[in-house]
Amino acid sequence: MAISPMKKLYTVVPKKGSGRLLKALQCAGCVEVISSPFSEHTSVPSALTEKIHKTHFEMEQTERAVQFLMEYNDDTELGFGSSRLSVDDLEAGLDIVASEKVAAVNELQNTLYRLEKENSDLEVEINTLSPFIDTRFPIPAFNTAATSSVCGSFPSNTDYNLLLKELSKLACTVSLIYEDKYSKTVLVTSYKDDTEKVIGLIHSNGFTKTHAKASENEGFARGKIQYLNERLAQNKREIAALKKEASQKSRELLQLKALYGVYASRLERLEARKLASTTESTVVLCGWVPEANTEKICLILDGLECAYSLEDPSEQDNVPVLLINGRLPSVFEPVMTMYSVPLYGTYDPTVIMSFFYILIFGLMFADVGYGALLFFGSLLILKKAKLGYSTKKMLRMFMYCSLSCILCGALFGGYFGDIHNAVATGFLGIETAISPALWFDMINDPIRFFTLSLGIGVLHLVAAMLIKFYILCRDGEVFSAFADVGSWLLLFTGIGVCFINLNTGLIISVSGALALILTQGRHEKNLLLRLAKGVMSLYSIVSYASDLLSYSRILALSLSSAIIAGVVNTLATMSGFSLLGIVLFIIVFTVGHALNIAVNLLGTYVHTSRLQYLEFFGKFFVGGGREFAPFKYSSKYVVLK
Amino acid sequence: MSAGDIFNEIFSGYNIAAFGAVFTALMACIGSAKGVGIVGEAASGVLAEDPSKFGNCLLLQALPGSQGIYGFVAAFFIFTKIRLFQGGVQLDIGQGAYLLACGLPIAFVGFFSAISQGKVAAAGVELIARRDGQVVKAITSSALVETYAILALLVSLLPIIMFNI
Repeated sequence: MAISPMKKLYTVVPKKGSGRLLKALQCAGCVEVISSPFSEHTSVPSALTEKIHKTHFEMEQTERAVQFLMEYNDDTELGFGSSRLSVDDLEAGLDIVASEKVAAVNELQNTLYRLEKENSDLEVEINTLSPFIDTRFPIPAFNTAATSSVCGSFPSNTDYNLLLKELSKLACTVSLIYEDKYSKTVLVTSYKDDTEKVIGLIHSNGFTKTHAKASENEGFARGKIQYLNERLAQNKREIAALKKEASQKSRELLQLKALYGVYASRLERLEARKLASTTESTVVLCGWVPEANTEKICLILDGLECAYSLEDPSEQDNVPVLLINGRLPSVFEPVMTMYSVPLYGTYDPTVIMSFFYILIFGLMFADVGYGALLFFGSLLILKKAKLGYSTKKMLRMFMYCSLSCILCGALFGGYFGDIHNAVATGFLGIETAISPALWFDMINDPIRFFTLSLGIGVLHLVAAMLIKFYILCRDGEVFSAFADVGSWLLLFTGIGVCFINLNTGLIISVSGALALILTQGRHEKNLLLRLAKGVMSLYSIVSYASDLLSYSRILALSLSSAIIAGVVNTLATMSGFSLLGIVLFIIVFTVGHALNIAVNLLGTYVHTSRLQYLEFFGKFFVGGGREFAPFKYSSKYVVLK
Repeated sequence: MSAGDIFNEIFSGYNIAAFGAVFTALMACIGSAKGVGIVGEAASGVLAEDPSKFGNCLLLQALPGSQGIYGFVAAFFIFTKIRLFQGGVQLDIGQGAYLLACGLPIAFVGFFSAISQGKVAAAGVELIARRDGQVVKAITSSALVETYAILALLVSLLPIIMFNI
């Protein structure tokens, strides 16, 4: 339960050996390479920059091919992270063969997209032509010696009859070709003398000339549509062939994924090399190593031709943070890092937080049925689905929390809400109010549950204050610890004792308050100001009170999920005990509880996190740390070693 | 039944108290819905640019949801006092009005503070969109608004708990 101490590594290696050194460090996977302090005075070799660009390009091409083939791959065996491959074997021979394959796949991909684009264009063209299928004149316009004709359409909101009336005054005819809900497609033929007027009139009435094109040579509309359809079919055949080829090629997916891994790892290495500084004949590399890994790194470096030193971080260093926690607490690390990574050298509260997280989560989602569903649901997904690292952590976290839900459900009598009573009354007609609660029934005694919620709040807040106390003592500020945290604890203890023995309680709390008044202004020189600041500090009691009351959300969330569950149960058992009743019961029960779980699980997750972030972390947490990002092999599609 | 009887029937102590509970939950929940909505709109804009900020945005969006919960808690306490789930108790008009008045602090403070908190949280969403690692500050400033909702909850709850029929 801690933040791992870090050592700063400096190595100097002859230029020739730098490749081997980087490979060895990448293989070890426990060094974060940082920009060398001498990099201001040295420049990045241009060959290196070029190489980075080239590798980056190759990597992107490979990824494009991999993504494409993954759509055509029905073999799940080649899924995420299922294979471990050795980089050295891969680097040896893969490049040339596989990069040709990448090019072929991308070529295929391009052709496929081109054909698909062409087909959608063809379909549009066929659609615009189809109203004219029975016509035997060139589209969109044609002229004879005395007339000129144009095809087009009016939108449905044009007053067609009025327009016809107006057009009848001019020398023209309008023939309707096709009509649907949205528009009327027409052929307008006019004598050349009147053409200008006719065109002007129809355009002002919303006429648009058709986009369709068909000439006599193409066999008018019918002939052209036929031709287009043939091309469409031809393209579709080609697409089908290409897709077949793609799914055949997808057998080589693993190889391409490995190639991606090789490129990505090479890119990482080149980027690391870029961070190092190059002198005339040496390369200086600088990085962070977790203390636990120093021996391993020393062993590796001793085997290479290089000089190195390991130093403690200095005050100015921006040290990366690696959290070291046991199996259970480590799944709660993402909850904390979502808020912030603790600053190096401060305190990692993961263990204490995970205890409270599980406890509060259980109280907010207190139901044996829901807990069991959550447990087996998470377990099933963990076992069956191929998941990323962080999703797995999250599911494992829900699994631990679900155990607490089951426990709290048993304590406060939640079994899918009150399914026991609902079935007894609805199906068997027995008016009962048996409570299976081992401790007390949450719905019947909400005041007690409210007190319990606040009690958990007190524990949580006191834990936070004790952590602050510990941190201050650890950093040698024992007086501050007693003055800033101790006196508040004294004040609150006094308030607590008041409920048992008023006088003793008053004495204790007043002495706590006095301690605050005397110490809180100690950084002021002016005596009066010092006292005033001390008195002012008592105002903070408001913020403590608000923190405490915030825990009433435990009551609210668990009550709301229990009450909604109860409503679902009442609805489900409403139709009584019959065949139809049972069918309805199954449907309403499943849908209703599924919805309730979905809504309340999200609420519980968010509000449990919130209590940690605001009420708990607010007391002591120093964030703004940077996560340790070791230099290692890429593990995006395949795990390399 | 005379008009006076109908009046007495409608404005019985029990009904007034129940109205108080409903009004409390109503106001606080509307406020929260508005607040969460304001943040949600801002968050969608940010998520369109950077989907990886979903976790932080979700957290900020959830903050103005507290007032609704507080209103619900206060309403529920009034319901328990008037024994809604056990068939109800007889209350005189004074007692009913007392319980109605108890709900008012969290009803109004909840409504307005949820909207204000929503605005602050939406600004916080903008903040985390522009700068990484600022989520703590965004959450803290938004949570300051909530302090007053909690104080109002306290003012609502204490007299309800103290109330004896």
